[in-house]
Amino acid sequence: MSDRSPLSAQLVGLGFDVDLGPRLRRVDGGADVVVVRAWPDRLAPGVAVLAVDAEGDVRRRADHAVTSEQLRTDASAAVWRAWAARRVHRPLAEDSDVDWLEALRLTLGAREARLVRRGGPSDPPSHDLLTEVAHGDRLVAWVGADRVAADLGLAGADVALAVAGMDREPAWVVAAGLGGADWAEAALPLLRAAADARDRVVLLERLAEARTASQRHDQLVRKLLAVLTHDLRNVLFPIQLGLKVLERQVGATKQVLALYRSVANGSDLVRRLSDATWVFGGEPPARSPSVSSDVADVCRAALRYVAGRFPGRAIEVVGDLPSLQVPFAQSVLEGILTTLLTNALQHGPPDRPVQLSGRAEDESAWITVLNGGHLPFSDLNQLGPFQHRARGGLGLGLYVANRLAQAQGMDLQVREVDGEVQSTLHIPARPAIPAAAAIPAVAIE
Amino acid sequence: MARRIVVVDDVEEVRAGLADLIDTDPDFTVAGVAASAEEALAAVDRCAADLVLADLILGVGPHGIQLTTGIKARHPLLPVLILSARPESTFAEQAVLAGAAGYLMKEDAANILFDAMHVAARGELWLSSAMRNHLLPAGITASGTPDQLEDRLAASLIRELRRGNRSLVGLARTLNMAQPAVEHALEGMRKHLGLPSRAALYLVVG
Repeated sequence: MSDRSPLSAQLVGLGFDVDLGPRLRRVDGGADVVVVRAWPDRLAPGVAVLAVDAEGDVRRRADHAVTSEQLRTDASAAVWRAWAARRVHRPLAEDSDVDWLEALRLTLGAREARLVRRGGPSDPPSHDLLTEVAHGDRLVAWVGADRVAADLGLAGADVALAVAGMDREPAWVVAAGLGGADWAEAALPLLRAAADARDRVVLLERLAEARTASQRHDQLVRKLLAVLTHDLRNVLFPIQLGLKVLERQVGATKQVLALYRSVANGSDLVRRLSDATWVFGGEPPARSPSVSSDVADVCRAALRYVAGRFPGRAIEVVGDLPSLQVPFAQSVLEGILTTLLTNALQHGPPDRPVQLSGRAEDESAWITVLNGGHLPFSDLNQLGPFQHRARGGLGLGLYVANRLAQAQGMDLQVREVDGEVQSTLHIPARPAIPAAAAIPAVAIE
Repeated sequence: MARRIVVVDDVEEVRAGLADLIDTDPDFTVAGVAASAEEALAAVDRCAADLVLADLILGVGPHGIQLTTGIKARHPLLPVLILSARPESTFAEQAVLAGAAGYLMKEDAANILFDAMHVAARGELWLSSAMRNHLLPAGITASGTPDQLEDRLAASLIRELRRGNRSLVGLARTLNMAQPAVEHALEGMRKHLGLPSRAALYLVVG
């Protein structure tokens, strides 16, 4: 049914789905009518005024965004419905209870809107508007001069307005113009804008799909890592048990201790993997309001752990460790401190002791780990993106420790001071971030 | 005489490792092993167990806390220690409320297993210091001691709790009461002592 005209070809070239069909007609007196099927931005439906010049080029005369406030008016909504109904060629008479012209005026914010038909301005729109256009009637919604007519520079001229659809449905953009003014100037930007709007809708849909897929992917990754860490612990556990049996039978020999260290390293990796599960899954572990740990106890536990992993390395505790109750799980604090101590031992000079010190004041504790030498990495990027293995590690441990600290309301700073690397963990007794809801009595999966 | 242990874990290597380790201590002997809750219930009856050491996750079947409830329904005084790779902060309290004698993290278990088993065998509650801090944070103390409770029911409850009878089903059966009535009485004791949770009450009473 569609005779593709040069005009429709232009519109197709601009990315429109054009089905002009018999509705594209030159009306008498040189009036131009464009009927464009487009996808207006669902968030900002608009009104377009288009025209076709004598050469058949599409030009824009004006376009008007319809504000959501306007759309909220009953009258405006009725207009949109009327125009949507038009797509299935229902006559306007079915909407006879709607003063659609007034609604159109309200929608446009115009001073005046009136219908001019060959039979006279007082004739009601008794049948399909598009059909009227197709039959060559001068269908004109005359909109107040201070708005559209001024925009058009056509004050006093007849202008037909078209209404773009709403929501995500394709809708008719109908425009008709009269007169030989330079309509061409503004047509293409409008059409591009309409095409952009359509593209935005498509992009929004694709974005939503991508976001859903990404969330699904994240969930799968987290499930995989959770299962993996659980299963790895089950692999390590019998080895730990076997080692214990060996120790009880032959004593803590050098070989047994070496195996213990290796298993401890494995456990440490599993713990880091477990931490990384949520760091990369994007969901921090819940912090229960009732969790409480003593900072000094945590420090001592971390010291015991690294002493087992690095036998022969000196770790000095400088001064008294602060005994302060803080609302963080011991496992989280211990994980962070263990990472700091492990980094210090791994990257500091082996002949110099690593120092651990702490202080408490104003309901906060600061724990500092100090080692000689330089930062293990050329910069502090390990607090952001992690490093490559050429530098002796991924830098992942520190990255994860930092994310853990941040997510829980703590702060971790690593810097080089006077030739020594200083890592300081600030542990507030009253963290600024709200505590997560208490862990519910969940069913075990 | 060595105490008879039933080991429950769905991973064969873990069962074997635990059995080998337990058998190195003359105070304990492994009387049975089970891979599921169903097998465990049968083994407990068959072996006349003195203590059950159960994994939290038992494949796709009932988990260790459900198993604890099942065991306590039949044997209110039989201690059940839960062993898991899952964080104690998430599951230990549930386990204790079901009547478990304690909750051990697998990563620590090789070093603390015998201590925990001895404590549980005495009817006491074994929890890590971190978990004790979690349930009963420093600064929160009971307002009075359980022994000051003069109510006869309270005295009976305290006596049972100290014997290791901590499950609602076990207490209801022993004291010939309905479970809601037991729960109500425990809640009254908890409030009277100003404690934050029923698990904290178990810690204080025990």
